Amino acid sequence: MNKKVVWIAIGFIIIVVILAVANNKQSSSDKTVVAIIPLSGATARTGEFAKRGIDMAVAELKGSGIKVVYEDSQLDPKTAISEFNRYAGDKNTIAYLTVGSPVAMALKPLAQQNRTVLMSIVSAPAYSSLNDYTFRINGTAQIELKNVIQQIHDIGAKSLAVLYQNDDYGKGLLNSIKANYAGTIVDEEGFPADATDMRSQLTKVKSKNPDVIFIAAYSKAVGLVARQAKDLALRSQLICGSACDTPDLLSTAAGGAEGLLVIAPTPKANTSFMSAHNAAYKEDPSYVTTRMYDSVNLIVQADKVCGTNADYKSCMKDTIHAVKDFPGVAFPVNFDQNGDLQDQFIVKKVVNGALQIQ
Amino acid sequence: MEYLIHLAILVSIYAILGLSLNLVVGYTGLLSVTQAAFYGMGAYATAILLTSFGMNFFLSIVIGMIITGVISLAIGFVLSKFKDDYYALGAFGFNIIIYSIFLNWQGLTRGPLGIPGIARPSLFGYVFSDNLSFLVLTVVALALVYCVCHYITSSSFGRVLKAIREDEEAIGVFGYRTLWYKLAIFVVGAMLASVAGSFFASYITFIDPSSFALMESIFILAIIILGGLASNKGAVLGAVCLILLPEILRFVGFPDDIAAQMRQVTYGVILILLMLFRPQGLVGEYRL
Amino acid sequence: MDILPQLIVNSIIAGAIYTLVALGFNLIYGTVKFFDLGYGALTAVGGYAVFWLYKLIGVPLYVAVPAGVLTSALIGFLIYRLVYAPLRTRKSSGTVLLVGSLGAFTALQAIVAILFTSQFQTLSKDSGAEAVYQIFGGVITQVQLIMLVTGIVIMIGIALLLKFTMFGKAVKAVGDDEEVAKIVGINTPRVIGWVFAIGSGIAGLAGILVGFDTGIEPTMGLSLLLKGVIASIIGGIGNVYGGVLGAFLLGFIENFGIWKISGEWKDAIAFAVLILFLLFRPQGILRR
Repeated sequence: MNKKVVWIAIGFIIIVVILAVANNKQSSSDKTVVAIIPLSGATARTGEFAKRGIDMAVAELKGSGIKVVYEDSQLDPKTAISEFNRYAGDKNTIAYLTVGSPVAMALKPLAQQNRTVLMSIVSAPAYSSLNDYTFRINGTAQIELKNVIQQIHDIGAKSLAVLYQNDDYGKGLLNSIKANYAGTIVDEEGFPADATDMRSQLTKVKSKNPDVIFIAAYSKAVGLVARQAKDLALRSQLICGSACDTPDLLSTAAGGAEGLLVIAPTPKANTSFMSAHNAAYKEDPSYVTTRMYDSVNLIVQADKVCGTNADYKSCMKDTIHAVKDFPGVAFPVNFDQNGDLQDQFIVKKVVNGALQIQ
Repeated sequence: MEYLIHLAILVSIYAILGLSLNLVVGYTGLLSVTQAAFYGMGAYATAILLTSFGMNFFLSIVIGMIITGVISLAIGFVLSKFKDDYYALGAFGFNIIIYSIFLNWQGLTRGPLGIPGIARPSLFGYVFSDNLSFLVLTVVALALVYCVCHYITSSSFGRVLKAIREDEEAIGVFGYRTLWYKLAIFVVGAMLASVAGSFFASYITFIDPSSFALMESIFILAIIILGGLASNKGAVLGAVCLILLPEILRFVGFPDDIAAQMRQVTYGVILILLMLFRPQGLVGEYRL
Repeated sequence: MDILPQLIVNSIIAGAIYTLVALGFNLIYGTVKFFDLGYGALTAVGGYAVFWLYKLIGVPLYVAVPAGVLTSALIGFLIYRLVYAPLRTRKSSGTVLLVGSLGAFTALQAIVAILFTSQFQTLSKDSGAEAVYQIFGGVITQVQLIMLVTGIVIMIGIALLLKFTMFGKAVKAVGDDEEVAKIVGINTPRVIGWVFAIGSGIAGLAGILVGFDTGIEPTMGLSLLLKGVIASIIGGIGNVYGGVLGAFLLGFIENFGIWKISGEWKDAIAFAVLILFLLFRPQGILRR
């Protein structure tokens, strides 16, 4: 019985392997953009927002000969590398889109080696590198913090406390704000990225009575913090950064986020994009959606320019680096020499249960 | 082709992990769920030594093994006080504590920001930067680990381990200091896991704590339960099956957004079916 | 020291959540003597059942909540019948049951994620003005108060059930010695089935209340389960009051721990406490 099982298993595996190779060889004539985004797991919502942006861009792409495939990264580096390698050998793969630092950082050297454009939403500062194939399509912590600190000054706050989620995004912002904020940071409290109970951290912060609390976390955590802060009768002004600007913020806060300030990289209202998005998804877009939308368009545009170029890959890289005021959905898109988006932020406030631009 | 090579490298790394855990769970009967922690220690050791000190990869493997060995000695000692189910719980606990250390000891591990830019191995000037050469290196390591495991399990030392698994009290009566044996094999298992970690770090060139959480330990456990406990061949077979499983599922063609969940459902159902109908796994000789 | 009252209230709130989880878990463990990890996923089942009925379909709350509890009770019972009962019939070891329950947990959690996506949902409708009370200078919300009261009511309920009803005595008998219970004529499979149903129902209720207090997501089960397990062990495994005691103790340790140590270490603290207890007092504070 034992030996038979082993042989069956081995035979099975060989068949699978052959199929895997065969599957890999099927390259259509369509150029492919591969989106390696988290479609399941803790960050699945972010992946879903990304997918919306890409879907909306693809809907307008008819006849350009470019298609997009999705692969689930589960925010796991080795899974993402598997997905990358599936398409790496295919000469029709023209670009990759990813979300999340672990994945982006793991794919960065591969994209560079493969000379394929990689556009990511990523918070890790180390992602920035000079004039290469990797682009960051969201604002760096640096840019985001500049706007946050500006806002803190504008409302006349003298003391600041930071509540951060313990992952690359939250920790990165914490380090950045400690380095750049000139005033006093009276308290910094961390919580696990999947936490739902921040009451004790808030209790500690409350005792230090800061003018402002900056919450460096994703929208779910920010919503919970806002709600719990309200329960605890905290009087400090709450501010949160780009990652909290998603529809989930208000639904998680369940009415408790009144007065929250959001430093957001999001389009102004009433463009055709906003209406199309609202019609399809019944809520405002998150910045992840708009960035992905812009990225797909950037890639399509670059492909038009480079389509017949002998050195297609270098051309793609250089063209995207060189864009000047590309018409993005929110604002004209420019990259600096590191391939980092020159993101622009606006300030929004939660008024009567909705986000209002200030 | 790149893709196949990549899969082969992953299979090799996880086969090493499976072999290492098998020594502890399959042969000695200690339900350890801490393996991911030791895997992570090896990975971080290599990552830190290579990025901060420019050390040679192979030297970092050795140092990683030593560090992991010392820490696992302490952990193994504490765990040896627990019996059966409590052993598993304690092991869970240590895995989470060490994961927290990876995540929060910023000064050492850069916490959630991870450590990027880990170099590929180099030997006498040759750099294993392309995947094929790295695969060769990994397979060589796997072969070495396999030989070590085979040697241990087929020696008299291995027989004592199996005796401990079957009836620890009885073998104690014969004068064997079971504690030493259990500690020894736990440490050996940990050191081998650390080797896998070193390879992982150098291959992916970037590591962060999320790769070494509790679920990873459970995944490694699932590999050897599927392959068959107390069988070195089984450990390798289990690794092959579970790493290739997503590929098989891909053909079933679930919609993108539920494919990963379906994979999880499949893992769960496989575990249940195994326990119900074949608790000794595919080719194992020990029934849990 | 003005944060002390609030910290105490926070600890009580955390303790209330863990109490509910521990009560069901302890009841099950006390009877069948293995760690049912599938229990964790049932919190999500209960929570999402109410989410579906109350928020998506619009069923009134006083119908949705009992329906949610019944759903998790039913599913918990089904898992027992389909997975655990067959395994127990063949006298599988506790480890096999543990691994089987792990499979059940993984599969069930993934199914919930497929049905409802991974999005974090709150059960409470737009509150804005949620009732908040002041106790000893600390603030507690209405939902949290309900959780606390529910936990105590259920604890008393189970204690009374075990002590004064025929069924309760049968449950205790099965827990003490299943073989003897069978010989004496107790229909053990039926009793155990009911235990699973009741325990799972409590888990569902815990998930529902957490859903109102903060929110639900498919992966909520694991961390709740682990905390429930820690609470049960440190308080006294198999003892109804023990689970509750352990839950509040854990709540206090976690929240006061954060006072001095950074909040990042919260999970590590909980597990370090577990290991300390396993080392020095594995049966917990209160005896069976």
